[in-house]
Amino acid sequence: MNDSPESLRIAVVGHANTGKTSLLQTLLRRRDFGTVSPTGGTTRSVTAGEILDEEEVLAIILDTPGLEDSINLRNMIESSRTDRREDPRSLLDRFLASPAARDSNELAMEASSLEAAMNADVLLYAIDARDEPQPRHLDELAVLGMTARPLIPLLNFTARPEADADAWRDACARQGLHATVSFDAIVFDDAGEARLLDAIRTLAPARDDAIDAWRRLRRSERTNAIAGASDVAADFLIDAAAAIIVTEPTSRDATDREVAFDAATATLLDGLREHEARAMHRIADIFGFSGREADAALLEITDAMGGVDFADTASLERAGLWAAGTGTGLVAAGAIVDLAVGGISLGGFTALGAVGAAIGAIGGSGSKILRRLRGQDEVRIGETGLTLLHLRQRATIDAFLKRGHAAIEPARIETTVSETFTARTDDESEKLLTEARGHPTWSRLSRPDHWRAGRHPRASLALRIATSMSRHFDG
Amino acid sequence: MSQSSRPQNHPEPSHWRDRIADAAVDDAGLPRDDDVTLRAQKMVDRGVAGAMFSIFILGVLGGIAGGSATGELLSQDGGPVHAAAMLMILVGGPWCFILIRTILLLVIRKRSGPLLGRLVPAGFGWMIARSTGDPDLSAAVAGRTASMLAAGSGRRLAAVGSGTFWSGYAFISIITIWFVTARVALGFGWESSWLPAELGKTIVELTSAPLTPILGSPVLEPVAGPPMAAADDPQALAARREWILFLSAGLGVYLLIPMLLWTILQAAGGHLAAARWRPRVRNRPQTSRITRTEADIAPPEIDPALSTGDRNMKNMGVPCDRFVRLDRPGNASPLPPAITDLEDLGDLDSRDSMAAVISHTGSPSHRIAIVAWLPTTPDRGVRRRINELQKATGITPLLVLDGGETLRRRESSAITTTRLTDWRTLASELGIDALECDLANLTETSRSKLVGRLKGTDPSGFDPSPRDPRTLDESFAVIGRQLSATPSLPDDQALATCLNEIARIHSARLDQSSQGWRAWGTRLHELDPSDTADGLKMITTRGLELLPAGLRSQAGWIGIGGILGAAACAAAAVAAPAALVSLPAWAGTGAGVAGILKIWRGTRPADTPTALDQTPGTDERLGEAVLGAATVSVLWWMQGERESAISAALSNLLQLRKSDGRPPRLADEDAARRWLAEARRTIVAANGGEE
Repeated sequence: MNDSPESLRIAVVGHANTGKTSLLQTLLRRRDFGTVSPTGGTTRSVTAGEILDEEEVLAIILDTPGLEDSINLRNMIESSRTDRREDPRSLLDRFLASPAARDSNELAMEASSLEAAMNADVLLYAIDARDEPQPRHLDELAVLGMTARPLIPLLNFTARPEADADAWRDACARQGLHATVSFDAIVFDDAGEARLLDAIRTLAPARDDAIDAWRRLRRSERTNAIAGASDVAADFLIDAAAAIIVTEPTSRDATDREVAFDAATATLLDGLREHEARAMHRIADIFGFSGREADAALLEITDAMGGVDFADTASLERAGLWAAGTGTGLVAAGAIVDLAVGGISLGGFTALGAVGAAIGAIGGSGSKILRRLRGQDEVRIGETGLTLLHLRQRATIDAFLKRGHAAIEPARIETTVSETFTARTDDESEKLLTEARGHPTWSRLSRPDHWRAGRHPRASLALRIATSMSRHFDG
Repeated sequence: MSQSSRPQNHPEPSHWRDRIADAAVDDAGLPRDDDVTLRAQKMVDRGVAGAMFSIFILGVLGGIAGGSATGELLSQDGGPVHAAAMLMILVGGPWCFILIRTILLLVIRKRSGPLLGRLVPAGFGWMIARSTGDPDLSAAVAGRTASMLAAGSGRRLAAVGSGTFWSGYAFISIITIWFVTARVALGFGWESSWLPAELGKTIVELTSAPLTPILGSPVLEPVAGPPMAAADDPQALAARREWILFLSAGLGVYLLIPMLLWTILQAAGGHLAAARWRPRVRNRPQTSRITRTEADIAPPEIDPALSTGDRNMKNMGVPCDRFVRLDRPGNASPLPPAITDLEDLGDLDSRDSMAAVISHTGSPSHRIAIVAWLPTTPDRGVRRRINELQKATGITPLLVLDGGETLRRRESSAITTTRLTDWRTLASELGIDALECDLANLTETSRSKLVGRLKGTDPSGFDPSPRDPRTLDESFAVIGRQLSATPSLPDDQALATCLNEIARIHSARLDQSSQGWRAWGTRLHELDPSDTADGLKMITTRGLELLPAGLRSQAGWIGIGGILGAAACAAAAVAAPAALVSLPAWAGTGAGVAGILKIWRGTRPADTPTALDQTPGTDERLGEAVLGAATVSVLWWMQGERESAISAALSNLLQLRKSDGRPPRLADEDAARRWLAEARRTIVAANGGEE
């Protein structure tokens, strides 16, 4: 491991409970860094996080205890002043060597933070932008100014509606601090991080190589994560699109066929649920989040579906999510979609269903005819359902891209059934999915199971879908 | 203390086979040790062997095709061979096939591997999938190999297979020509059933011209087969040899060499594509490390001497005549007269202001009210400032904790609870009296409580006595009775009767100070159950108006408003349905959604788009009605409490909804009674009553 002297040293300082540890979690992409708590004074020692490129340490970021009692701290430091012209840095040195900082634990945490700050190249002054600038903040800035280190006011929680970034920019400008940067540790913004690195680069030009490498690292990390997550999503979506469950009725009797149809639908639903959850966990893992957060995201997705529950077939049918392989099923599904859009389509979906049924009847293969003769049906996911799953996968990747590693609240996946009617044509990957139709052997969910890993045409389609999805996120 | 969390990064292998193996080992969730990696590499090698075997098979198949086609073309039953036609068939056939396919792909704008050659990537995957011993690993290797092939090398590998097929075809065709003509003497000429001789001649001249460097200047004249031309006739023999050389060179130059070059080119392209391929990241590499080198610094202990403790608690009956602000933001709502009537000593937020306040504390005969801001973290700095003021005055101050709604609005309930607890702990440790009171949203009760504390006439402290649950029980009993009455819940008339009864019970209990709620109750009394819709709309509007202005627009209270609306079918009276639907706060509260939907179903315009018709069933309608009536009961019962306590009680009630935020589904009367019992137990327990 190479901890080179060129490594950039950044100290994150500020008042208690302004999200310093949260900022580090997000900058380091590590949920396990430090402890975040609503109670002030949780961080009680300086902890370092290092940004690594392979074996090289690009930057060392120091998390420091909060400056809880800045009024007393400033008073204590300035009370030792004997000469008005005395250098502030020497005042600070004197304070740090004094018993007040060393022996008494009253200001020991502040002393520890100041020591870390004095050894840093750049200070990031964390601000909870929801708070109003107060005189104690000015005391903190005055004390930090004595370290003679370049300081960047960093506005945290700016994505919250209560945040007043302008008030803080104004307050900082009045203190001569103009390089204020907004960077929300909870709602991650790639551009925000880039702006922060730009600001650091401006104030620490001697470390520009490390900052450039840091920036490259994050860029490639993002690209790789998008590609990996798109791969996972494409794999799941092909499974969903290609899946066909052939029913196994005990006889050709209509009731038996219905029972078998319900059983096959339940099998497909269970499989979809399980595979979607697995895909979600893998995507969460790729972005450095835990499976627990993916579970929360799944819950949010279900909530966002406006009551459509995968476990409830009737609910799904009401939303037009399923199309059966039989002609009547397709016509029925079309009619259901009509109902779901409040009659706007003027029967268009019903017509489509009828056309689909006709094509199915004319173009059925030999095995299909045989199945029909045996009283077997095929169950597969309908177009609307597939669109919904596609949107959900895209929304999942999007949610994790915008999620800071300090976020505690569940990931919000804002996908609704209504979107399937409005957003279905804006992504080539969705169109590509239709190529998986009619290839039941490409799906792990198909019954009977003919799945075999490593089919080249499937992999080729997965790559095209994933590439198209990646393009969507790369803009 | 030193603690380091090391990243688990591995150097990237240089060969694609090893990259596939490493990625597959990760995919299968196995450790990257030598043994596992070696097994994965062997699986890839099996795949390569499968691909090579497929190429070999394609070559053999091509050879069989070429041999049989050539053999058939040379079997003339004594007649001369039409060399030009033979060359065109043997060479032109494959090229026509390739050309048509290319045109087709261009037309449909698709990139696709050659049909025959797809056997090669299929063989690659097939052999990997047949690996035994570790199905997870072999599936992972097959998956990664397919990804690698899909990234470009698969198409080229298929082209290699196809090229091998046609190369085998051409090569065996040449061999067959020599083999067959060595066995029998054949004649060559222009005889055809329908092709003119001139065409044959022209084709031969054109095709032989480029072959001059190989053949010299051949004289390709017709030569008859035996017995027309003797087999030992040297001239005929030479002429036949010229024809055979022409056919061989034609096949070699026009088919074999191009196909071999194509195959080699595709093989090289495939190799480069494989070399360029990098596995997509599915297990995120660590790009950071955590290092801890210091032990935690112990927080300062609370000096018992600094805390005035019980001594000050004795002073709680002393009235306040001055106040200071502690970190209260300038944009907070103006302070109420109960505070501003006191002498304003300013802010307690800097060294200078601290000194100024302390210098003005004056006589210790009166207390100071400290108006603190709940969203602020009560840290050491806050503690020290309060403590110093306390020491300077020698009498315990009154800590008024303002900004509760701001805190609730901006933080989660868990953080809100923690912050409240921290403030209460601080007050308790300093031995000072604290009152949580949202000064922007004072109710009549909290205003009188604040005034009482400021005047020293209401030293009731933190723990209000538990509320008597009897009136709540009475109103819940009314709901219970209405479940079996005629008409019964969820009928609107039954609901109106129910609300009327509940209002009667609670109106009798409430004192005259609660004019607003009494008025609301009076309206309920006036409600004519036969004119339910308008009447309920009226009283619900009135009920919503009674909420403090600051709370009325907030999500939690809007949820309550939604329940009131659902209960009274009347949220439409507050705002136009379209506006309600566009409010995110409404969308976030299940009860609100339930209420809106109920109204929306009846009032939405015909062209209003909706994604999903959420018509509630009977069980859900009963749940709406019972939840609505219970909410009204709790609101009445809690009158006189602090707004935070009312918020908490309603939150407890709302938590009894379904997890999706919609009202509970109550299948029948028994289910409704069980739900009411659970709601009653929760509300009473949360208010300090019996469990």
